[in-house]
Amino acid sequence: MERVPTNPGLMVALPGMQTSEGSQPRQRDGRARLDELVTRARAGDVDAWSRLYQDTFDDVLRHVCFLTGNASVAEDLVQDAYARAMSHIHTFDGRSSFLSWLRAIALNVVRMHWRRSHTSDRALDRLRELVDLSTGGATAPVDKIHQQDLRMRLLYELLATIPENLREAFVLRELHGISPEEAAAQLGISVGNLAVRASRARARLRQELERLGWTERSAT
Amino acid sequence: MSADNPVDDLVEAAHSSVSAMSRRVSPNFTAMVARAHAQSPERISAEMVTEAATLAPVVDIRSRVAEPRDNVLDSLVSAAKEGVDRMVEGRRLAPIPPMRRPPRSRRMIAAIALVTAAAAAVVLVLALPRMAGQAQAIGAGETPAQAFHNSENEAPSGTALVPAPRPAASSRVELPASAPEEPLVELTAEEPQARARAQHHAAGELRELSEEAHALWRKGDLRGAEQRFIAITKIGGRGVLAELAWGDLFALARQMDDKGKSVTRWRAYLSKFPGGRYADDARAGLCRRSSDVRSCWSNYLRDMPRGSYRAEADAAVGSPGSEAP
Repeated sequence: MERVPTNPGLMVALPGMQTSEGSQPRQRDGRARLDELVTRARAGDVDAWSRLYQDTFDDVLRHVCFLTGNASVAEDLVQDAYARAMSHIHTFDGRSSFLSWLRAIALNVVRMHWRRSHTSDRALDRLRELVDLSTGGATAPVDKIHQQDLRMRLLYELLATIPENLREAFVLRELHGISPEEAAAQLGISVGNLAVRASRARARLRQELERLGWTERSAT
Repeated sequence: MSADNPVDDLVEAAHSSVSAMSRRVSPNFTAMVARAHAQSPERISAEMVTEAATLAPVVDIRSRVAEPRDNVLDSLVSAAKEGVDRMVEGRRLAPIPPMRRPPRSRRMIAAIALVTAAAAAVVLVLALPRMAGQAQAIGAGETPAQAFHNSENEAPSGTALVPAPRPAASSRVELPASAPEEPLVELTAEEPQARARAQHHAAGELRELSEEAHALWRKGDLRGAEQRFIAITKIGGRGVLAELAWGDLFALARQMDDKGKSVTRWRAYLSKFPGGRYADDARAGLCRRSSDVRSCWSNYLRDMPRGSYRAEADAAVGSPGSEAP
């Protein structure tokens, strides 16, 4: 494959855009292209890695954002996930898709992050404060957007209080929007087990919300 | 809000907010490879880090179309999503936050504040009379960013960009030839609503310009795309969209193989965003073309001890052993 030596321009696969690998627009099937890039990446081709990074970044970032609920944390963890993937590409056996493999690495990185940052003693205070604000307490802001952000924070604070296996099942099944099969495969469990865990997580969250007085306040 | 299912309310809110939040993060391939090298130097060599730095930047071009959810969203959630999108666009215009610094103790901060206040008082007493006299002379000088905009307004073909009157109902965004940096409209602090309207208007204009620029780029009209990105850097000031446009301008200069333009743009960018997301690349680029390579890289190492190009800088300065951990 001929490579243009100077100024390849942007490394994006946009329809009709000329790339650094040839003079004709890319028409090949996406999967075949991905396979080829993975093969080259395994051989240590940095250019191939940059394209894989470009093609998958958005997906992996969303995955980690949904797991953490924090863009700054997610940015760092995503970089870490790719760095690990790059140095462990030799372990990728092709049984799952490359993206699934990346997501699984990202999930492991997020798990390590969760274990490093244990829920602090102030978690309950923070939760109470958030419930207060989100349900229109005395000092609550009336801005709708702010309310939405507060609710998101509340959900992630609540998720931090439940066991990790329930938390990740809930996030992947209820929030992320990936297929149950893929979510189950990532967690190494059956689809049925995933549903059970997500359901248990939901029950725990609801229970915690009731304990915090959310239901009564939000109904008023 | 459904009290019957409080968890659903939170899930809906979180889904919208997280989707919007993920759009605020940009890829940085070079930094990722440097991290991989730091984690596993035996598998990811320093040469790979250097090679990653020489590749064209991986830029963030994502679909702006909201992804459909599995379940049907009701009108309330749709309205909320629109609100979140508006908020995100508004935030895109906000200034880039300063670089993170290690936290200092309160006592240290108080001491610094005292010393600074004392120094400022002395300087004011000594220099106030001279400053008044110099004020008029300052207008004659220009910053690198101003120099860049002045030079970019003079098209190489000799066809200078001429400001055209804006038609009232034009669907196409006109390119301002000498747009003010920021803000677009002079507003007082007593006009927050007007300011919000102006920001919203500017956000819309920047969005349109950006989409137009990328469309032209895809068609191969590099010059047209370049003009629009330049317009974005003028209108957007120090906002995120403007900074991303600088990144696109760097890539375009490389694509056009115009090294002179690259250097001018790196300088102009650094004068506006000294700690920006492309500062690492811009400084490395300038050092590679510097007449005093050693001194330039030495400054780079001093200012960016964890920069992506530190291996290259070490090699240029000749200080072995300070490679990535």
